[in-house]
Amino acid sequence: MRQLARTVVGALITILTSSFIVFAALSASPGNAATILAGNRATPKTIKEIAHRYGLDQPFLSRYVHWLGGAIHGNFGISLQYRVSVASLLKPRIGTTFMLITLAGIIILVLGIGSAIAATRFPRLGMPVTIGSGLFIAVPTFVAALILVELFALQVSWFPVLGTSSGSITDRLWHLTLPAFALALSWAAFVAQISRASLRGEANREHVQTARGRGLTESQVFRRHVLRNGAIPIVTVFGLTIAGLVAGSVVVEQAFGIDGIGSFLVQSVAAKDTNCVMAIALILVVCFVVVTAIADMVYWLLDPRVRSGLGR
Amino acid sequence: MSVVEELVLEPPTFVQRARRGEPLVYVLSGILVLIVLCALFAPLLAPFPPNHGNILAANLGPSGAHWLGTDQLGRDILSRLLYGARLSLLGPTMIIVFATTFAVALAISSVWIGGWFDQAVARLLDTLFAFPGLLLAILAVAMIGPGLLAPVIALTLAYTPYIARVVRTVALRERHLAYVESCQVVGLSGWQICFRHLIPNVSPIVLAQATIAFGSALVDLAAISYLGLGVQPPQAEWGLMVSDGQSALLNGSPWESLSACVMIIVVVLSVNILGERIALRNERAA
Amino acid sequence: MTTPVLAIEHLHVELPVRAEMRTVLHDVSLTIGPSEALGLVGESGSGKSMTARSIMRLLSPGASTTGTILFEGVDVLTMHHDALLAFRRKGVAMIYQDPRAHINPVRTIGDFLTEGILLDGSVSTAEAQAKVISLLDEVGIPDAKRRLRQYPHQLSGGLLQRVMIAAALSEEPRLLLADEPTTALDVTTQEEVMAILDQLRVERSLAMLFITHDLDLAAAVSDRVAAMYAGVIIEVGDAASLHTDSLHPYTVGLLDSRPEFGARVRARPIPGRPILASEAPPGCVFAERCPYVTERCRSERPILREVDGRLVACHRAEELRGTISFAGAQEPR
Repeated sequence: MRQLARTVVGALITILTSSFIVFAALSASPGNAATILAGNRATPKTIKEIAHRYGLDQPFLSRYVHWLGGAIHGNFGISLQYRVSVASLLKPRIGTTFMLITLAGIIILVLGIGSAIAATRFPRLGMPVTIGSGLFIAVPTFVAALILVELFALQVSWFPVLGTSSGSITDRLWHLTLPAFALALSWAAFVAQISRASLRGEANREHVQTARGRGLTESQVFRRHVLRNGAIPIVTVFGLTIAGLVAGSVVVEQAFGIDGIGSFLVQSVAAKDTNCVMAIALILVVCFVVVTAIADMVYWLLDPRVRSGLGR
Repeated sequence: MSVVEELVLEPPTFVQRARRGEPLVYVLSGILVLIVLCALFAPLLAPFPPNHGNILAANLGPSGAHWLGTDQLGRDILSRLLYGARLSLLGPTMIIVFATTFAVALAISSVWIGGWFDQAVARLLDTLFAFPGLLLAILAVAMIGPGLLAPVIALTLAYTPYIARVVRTVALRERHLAYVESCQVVGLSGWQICFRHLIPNVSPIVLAQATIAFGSALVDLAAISYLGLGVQPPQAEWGLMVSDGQSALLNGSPWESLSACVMIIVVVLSVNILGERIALRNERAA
Repeated sequence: MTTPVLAIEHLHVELPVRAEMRTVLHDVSLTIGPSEALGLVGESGSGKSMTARSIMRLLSPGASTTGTILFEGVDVLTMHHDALLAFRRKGVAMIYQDPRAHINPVRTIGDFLTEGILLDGSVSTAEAQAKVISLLDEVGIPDAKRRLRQYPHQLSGGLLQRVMIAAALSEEPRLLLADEPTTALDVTTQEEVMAILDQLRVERSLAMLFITHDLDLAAAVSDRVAAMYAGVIIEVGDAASLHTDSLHPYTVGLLDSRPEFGARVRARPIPGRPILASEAPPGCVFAERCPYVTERCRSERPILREVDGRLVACHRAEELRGTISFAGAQEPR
């Protein structure tokens, strides 16, 4: 319980600090934002009026408090580019991105951890897994995207080339399959390498020998002792992996022309739509912090040594 | 009593070392040196000026004149690939040099000073570590504007904890070894101990970590350019070439994108394997 | 004569080390009768633990083994999968040197103790727990119920080794392998743990292979003692006579080299360094360090033969009997 409280408080402090940094670094100079909002033919007077209407003439700190207060209620202000509320722009896109990342996460789980388990259980598979993961880890997301498109959408037309579908769930999944693989590939390789090292290290431990000597079958030994113990370091890279997937989704969405928050971020940055950029930045920061906190908690639950305050 | 204890350690023979994949190290280093030479001597090696294009000869396949074909503006892809190596390698080099310097300075001083300062630095590094460099770089572009400057600053920030965390762990271990104390007894100053003993002793680990980080930095920077937020056209850079060639790829001439893809993969792969070998050697030496 | 619980005959083991096979055991032969305790004594690296691991078939993959290890008349080395599992479950149990490394750190003591009992599936969890709790009482761990929920790092080394003993006994084995069970413990707890192990073994009249580097300890808890050097058994005899009247120069040296509290004579280490089984010369493995070495010793390896009711592997056993001393021994070149 105390651990939970500590994690939550730590996460809140990180979110608060980062939100301040995001705001301080990114919020456009008030005059600038008002000018953009007022449009091309605005007189200094209308600019002033607009600045007043959106509270842009307030001092910095009160603007920050106002922004944060709004953000907590899901109100991120007005998009400078589209003149509509940022929230209404983000809402449909978050779903798409979430689906993409979830799909990629499942692929990583199956491919990454699966291949590590296979290679540990069946040493004959060790070499192919080593070579495969070593190769795929060096393939950047956007390169993977292009190569997958070239192979599976152009050479053999198994998958659609670009875009999202607004149709049924299955159709949307269909459109997201190649992007999810492009996103997952290098991370799956990373997870495979980490898991493999961890499982292999665990398989050589003395206590595994004890279990074997007691007459457990190889699969019992693996399940109860190798996998259970080896899972601990794997969980610690879980947070890192999710964060990496979120960052990678920006690239993948751009590469496949998917309208998610990643491609919207790039678009907003290019258009200097600071309100949108800040909103997305804040959402991502919260994402990372929450994921890291969850990973910490799971780690804490899995390892009794950490639980009783003993370092590893 | 384990099996290991029963063995007598002998230095590996040349044949054993060769079997362990040392030739691979020479081959990979050779490839990297070659690519760096290409970048340095691009003006001498490139058959055409990188930005000179003939729009009538656009999207050509490989031929005697254009070994890798031409891009959508009719520019020679091979020449752009050679020139592209310059910006593609310069960015990550700067990032790693800066990040390593900061990381070593931060980690060593934090370990040396210790106490709450060390705790605070450790906490800061952990927090920063959770943020992907790519996103920091995009946000930096939102702040400063497109180009190489913003992503280099952001990625330096992002890779500092990546190196510093490892350095800190090793330095922490070294710090409490007896020899540091005996240096203090002899009367060496903190600076002397740090520079003459601590830094040389952590440098093999720094080298391994920095080598692997170089690959990631190259990928991140290329991704930023691919997104159109980094190096701007008409300059040649691999990430930019991948996105430049994307529409041509969809129309059936994949040469520009794919050749840039291959360059990125070759460099990252070589650097990764080299970094792992260095790390492995460090482990053996330890 | 009844079948011995364990009969090792001409066991020869090689392990792969960096793509090269290295011998760790040369022609080892041993027998343990029903309810007999055999002490196996030697310096570290002499092959004691390797012998135990070979019995359990726990050598690293790639090991090559020849000879036979008969457990109640059945060869362990040729057992098939199911028979091997049954042998490990019900036939033999091992107590390891370092309980902290040999007990899974992320599972509870209860999990560790009941795991072996629950393997058959014939015992309910509640029954297994009850059995384990009574065993913990027997090995002298009070408050057993609470201990079951604890993790290994919450217990001291001495307690953990008692848990290991309880776990070994829980499977009701017919042979116990104890690999230096007290070496990793504090001196103060060593005796307690040893006493518990000895008492419980005698109560159950279990056969035991007791591995140690401590000749006195081996003599105290075993019926017979075998001494090992460089992967070779060099002497086997009943505990008392081996202790007072050793036949092999190495055993004598081992006895002489013990530091003894309040002793008049200073402990005398055997000159030279112990060799590994893989470095053994063609002749007697102890030839390099033996003050009584002859040409024959260097060229012909002595086999284990019977001398006066005991077994010894020395060409000059009869002739040297009672006269062996390392007092004037020089460091050999």
